[in-house]
Amino acid sequence: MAVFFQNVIAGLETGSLYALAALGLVLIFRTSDVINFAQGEMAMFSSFIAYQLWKPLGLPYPVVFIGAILFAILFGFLVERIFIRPASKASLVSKMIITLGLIMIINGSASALFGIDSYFFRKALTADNIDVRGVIIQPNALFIITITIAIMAVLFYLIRKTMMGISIRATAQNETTAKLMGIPVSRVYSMSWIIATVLGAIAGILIAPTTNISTTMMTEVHLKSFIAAVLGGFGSFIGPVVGGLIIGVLDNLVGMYISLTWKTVIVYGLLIVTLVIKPTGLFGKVHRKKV
Amino acid sequence: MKKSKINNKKLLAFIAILLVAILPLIFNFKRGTMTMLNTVIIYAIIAIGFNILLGYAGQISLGHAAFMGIGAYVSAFVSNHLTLPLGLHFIVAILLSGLVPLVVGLLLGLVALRLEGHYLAIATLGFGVAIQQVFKEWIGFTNGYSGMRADPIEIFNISFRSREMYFVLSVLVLVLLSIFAYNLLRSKTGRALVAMRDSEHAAQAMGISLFKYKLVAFAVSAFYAGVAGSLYMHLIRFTMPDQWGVMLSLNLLAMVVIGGLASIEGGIVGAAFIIIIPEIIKGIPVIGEIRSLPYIFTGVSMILVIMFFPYGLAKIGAQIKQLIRNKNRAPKNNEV
Amino acid sequence: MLKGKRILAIMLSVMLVISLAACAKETEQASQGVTEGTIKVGTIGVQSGALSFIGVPYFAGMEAYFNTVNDEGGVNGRKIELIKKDDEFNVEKSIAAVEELIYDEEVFALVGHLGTPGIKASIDIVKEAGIPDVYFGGGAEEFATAGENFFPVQPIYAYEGKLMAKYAVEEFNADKLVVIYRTDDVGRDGLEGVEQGLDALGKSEILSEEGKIAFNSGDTDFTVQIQKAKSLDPDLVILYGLSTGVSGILKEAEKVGFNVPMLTTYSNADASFLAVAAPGAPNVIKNLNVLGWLEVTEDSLEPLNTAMAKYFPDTPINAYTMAGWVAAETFVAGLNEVGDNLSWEGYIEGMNGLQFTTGLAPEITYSEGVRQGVTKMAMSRVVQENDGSYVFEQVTDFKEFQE
Repeated sequence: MAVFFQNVIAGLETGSLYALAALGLVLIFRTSDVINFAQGEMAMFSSFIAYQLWKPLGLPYPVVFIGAILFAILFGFLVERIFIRPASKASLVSKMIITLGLIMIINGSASALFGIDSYFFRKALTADNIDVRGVIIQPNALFIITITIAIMAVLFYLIRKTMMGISIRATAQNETTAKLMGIPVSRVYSMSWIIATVLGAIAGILIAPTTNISTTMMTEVHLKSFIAAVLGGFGSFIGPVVGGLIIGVLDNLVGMYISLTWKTVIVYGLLIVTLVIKPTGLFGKVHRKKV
Repeated sequence: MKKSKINNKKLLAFIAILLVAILPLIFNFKRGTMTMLNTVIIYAIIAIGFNILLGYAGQISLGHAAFMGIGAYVSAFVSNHLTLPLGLHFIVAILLSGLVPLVVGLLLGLVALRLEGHYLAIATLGFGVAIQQVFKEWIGFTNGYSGMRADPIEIFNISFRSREMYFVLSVLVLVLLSIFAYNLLRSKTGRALVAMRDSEHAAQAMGISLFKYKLVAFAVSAFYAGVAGSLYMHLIRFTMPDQWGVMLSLNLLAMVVIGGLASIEGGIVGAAFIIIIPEIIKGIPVIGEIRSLPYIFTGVSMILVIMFFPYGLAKIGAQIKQLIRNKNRAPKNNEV
Repeated sequence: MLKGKRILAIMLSVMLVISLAACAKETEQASQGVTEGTIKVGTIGVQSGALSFIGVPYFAGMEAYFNTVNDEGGVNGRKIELIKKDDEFNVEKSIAAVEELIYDEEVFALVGHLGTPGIKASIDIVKEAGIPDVYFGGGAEEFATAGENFFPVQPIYAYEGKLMAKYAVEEFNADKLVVIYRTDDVGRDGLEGVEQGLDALGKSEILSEEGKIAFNSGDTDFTVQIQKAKSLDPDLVILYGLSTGVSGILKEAEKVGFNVPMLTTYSNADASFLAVAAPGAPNVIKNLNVLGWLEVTEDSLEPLNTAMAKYFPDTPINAYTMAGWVAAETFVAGLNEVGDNLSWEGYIEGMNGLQFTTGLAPEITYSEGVRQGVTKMAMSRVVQENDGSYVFEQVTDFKEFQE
């Protein structure tokens, strides 16, 4: 039984990281209808900034964390301004291609600026592990899970209860009407890119102790975050979190009890089956389209 | 166009094809360049098929690399295990490498019946990843990471081993499939696909079967991908599972969008752009010599194209015409 | 009836494409790579995108060596001119680059082609041309049997696997072995080698089916692998994969206190691997051993470090840099052997008598029909220095696997 719970706990930890990355994707998607393929690369870049603050500059961890978030705010703002806003009239697939181009630009810049090596990065919490009847739990894992759920709750609150949230939802529903209602639509876009970039940065900083800091650190997490978003549904903020956790845990359980080599096929197969049964994700609502 | 001109047009087309096919012989290209041109033609084939799916039927897929991979493996497997006189087994291999993905494409089409937009995008992405994993693990069929080899094509004692001959062959296939695509899109099917893209509900109301046409769109594009995979296999003559991943599917999407949605030429121009532009950038002095700058510039060039030619490179002409017309229409301005 | 026009348009776009490509055309040279004062060689590897972390230091190592040789006057008065091609780890670009180097740039030899898929795909072309192809950045078994003009250097993964089996039996006296391998060409070849090695030693019973545990290249969560390994209670765990995965596995082992002797591949035998892996697994790593095919001491690395500081101060010095360095070293060693008989046949003939012992690798030899590359490897273990840093310390002599 200890083995089972060990796998579940670790799955929740990894799943939380998928979820964090997925929340950013969903936020951008809900406001501006863009699938941001560069989300992972942006997170990677922010993580490199964190590393630069931590190792070469030797700043304390909380400062590093906050510094990286401040950078992410600026970064998200710039990316939206320079690359996304000028193409606001372009079709949805065109915007996808822009984010594909962004992957090359960001990845190329990162390897030019920070080098192509891998670097060790510390955990958020380094306290001793807790042993609960043979199940080893890292305080850091609990921290990651907690922070994910907290961020989800904050986002949920922001979207539901604040003026900003109402603007975001209104923009998502109909841009023109939102404009007519006096909502600063472009500021809403800007805001959603900023928040999404910050979420990516947090995910990157938290996953770096496992994957190390490198230009390829987010590749797999990024892919899984897509799957998490779709599995949970783009319609809510609970969906991607649940989706992420399910994938994290499922990956481990399938690997443990069925097959490590066929794990990927099984998990992705289940994804497709789930979508066929529930086409808008587990928490998605069905939209009725008018002719 | 007047009917009397048809013969002229056909003649013109024939001359054009001939011209392109013998171009390499006239120019005496470098061998490396010929290989690159061959791959452009091959990717153009898959891009045309993908454009039928995305540009005409409005269905997205981020898993089409899998179909190309299936085509490549089927072609290698068949031509390695079957021998017919006069090299007919290569024809069988190419056909089968189109037909097997077609059947798999039907299955994916069934999934698409239930999903749309981003959900479809990610479901197909998942499909692509899963199939790539199957390539890795189904060693009996794909030879796994040891990789699979194939022979150069030789039909009716004509060897297509040389890059120039292969170019003639792949241009021939490209032309055939372009004509097929063109005719398909002008037919009832094509109109149904476009109607479905513009509004599924309206299309349904007019009696267009979504079931039928979504399956058709996926099957046809998978067929094109498979044939392209087969041609790829006999050109490169080696394959490994790594090649058929998400990145290729995304590149494919970029080819079609950059070239121009809903246009057959778009696929060709887009394929050329994605394959040749990085090479040209690498050749530019200074930029090409600094590490990772070419990569960045390739990304920038993709974004610039999208921003300035949102309808794709193949439609620049139309875009300029439109611009001029608008200016002419403007009341006060003098001549353009 | 627009058909004709349509086809014409399509053809025109094809022509556009071709003329675009024609722009890239360069003038051709008459000789095959050798002039009075220069020898032109070509190399292919990934320089951009996700995998550039391998190709960049690798090329830098190679160029650093050639630059050093050139600065000292070249080989027999000829300077070596290196033409580098970026294939983006893409098979078709790799092939096109090989063809361009052989037929258009007309290089004298290919040195250090990097990336197993591209190398495998180009074997036929290189064989047909007959051009010397020295050093492969990859360890597939096929390279050793490809032909007389192929000169693999770095150990073949399957061979290293065999040697690991020998070490497992002879050094660790293992009764129960676990292999955690990456599911790609590297890990699978390694695993196969271990199996063959155990077979040859009559010890195949120590590695059970459950003991072969897979992980994927992108994995970030290694709970399953470590839990499975732990439940088998092995005497030795072989970790066959590259640094990102292996360092993740070590961290997971540290987390759950799974501290048994481990042995990993030569691909991880460098300081940058330790820098990444050790801080996350400070205890487990002290039980880690690696095989190495290079004699990595302060003295032996001195020329490399000096050259890198001079020519590529910003590029990391790791196993890839050393690999590139050895590629260049081996090629030049061959040139020295050949003297002025600079034809392909002459070079191949010269290489057949090569016995090169003064480089980073302890010994590189070829003879007619024998293309094994380096076969002698030594085991090192990780030790902690007084200042807290971790280093490798060689614990065995260089050994070979003999059937």
